[in-house]
Amino acid sequence: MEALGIDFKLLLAQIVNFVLFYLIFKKYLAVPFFKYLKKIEKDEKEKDKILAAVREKEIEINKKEEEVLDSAHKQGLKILNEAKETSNEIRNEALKDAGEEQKGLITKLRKQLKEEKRNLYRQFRIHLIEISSQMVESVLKKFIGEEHQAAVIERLIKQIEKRKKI
Amino acid sequence: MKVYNKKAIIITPYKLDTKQRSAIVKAFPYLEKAGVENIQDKSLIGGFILKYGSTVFDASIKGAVDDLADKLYEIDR
Repeated sequence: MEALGIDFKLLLAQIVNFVLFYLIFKKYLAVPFFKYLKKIEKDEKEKDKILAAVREKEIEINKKEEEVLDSAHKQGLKILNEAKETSNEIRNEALKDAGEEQKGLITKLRKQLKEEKRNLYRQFRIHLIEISSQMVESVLKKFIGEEHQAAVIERLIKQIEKRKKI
Repeated sequence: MKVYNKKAIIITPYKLDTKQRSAIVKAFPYLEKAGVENIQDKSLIGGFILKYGSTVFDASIKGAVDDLADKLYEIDR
């Protein structure tokens, strides 16, 4: 062994050292170390689980967000359509009211026009009668003089006598 | 027509002569008992208006024209 360059004592001491190290390591260090490793592994698994849950939650939240957005969009469209319908109804109602009002106004104006036309016609007729009777009077005044009085009275008395007989 | 002890008024455009006056009185016999006054109104044109008490008998040409005008006023259209 010596010829091979191996120191037996040193080798023995190293073997003893190694055994001692092994025993000490096994008794005092290996267990907490493995425990630590296991804990780390467990923590990793837990972390993965949590991450998966978080991802799931995120997906769920995204889905919910999409649903909410979709619902809001639909709601918005519904409100917009309702608003459009309401505005159309109001517009139509207003147009209808305006139409009726216009019709009423036209009827009223026609009535007024008719009334004014009637009044004008009445006034015109009155003037016409007045002018006509004045004209007749002035013509008669021109043609019937004192010389005709006797004849007029005679004619009137004859008419009165005739009526008396009837 | 009722007889009143009042004067009859005959309105004419020109003064009545005796012949005309007696012709009118003859046509209305109740005037014989009442006095007759003749009033002149040229606007009558011709004929006469007889007023006796509350009675008025319009036989004037103006009255006839006015009657015609009244009838025309009464026509609605």
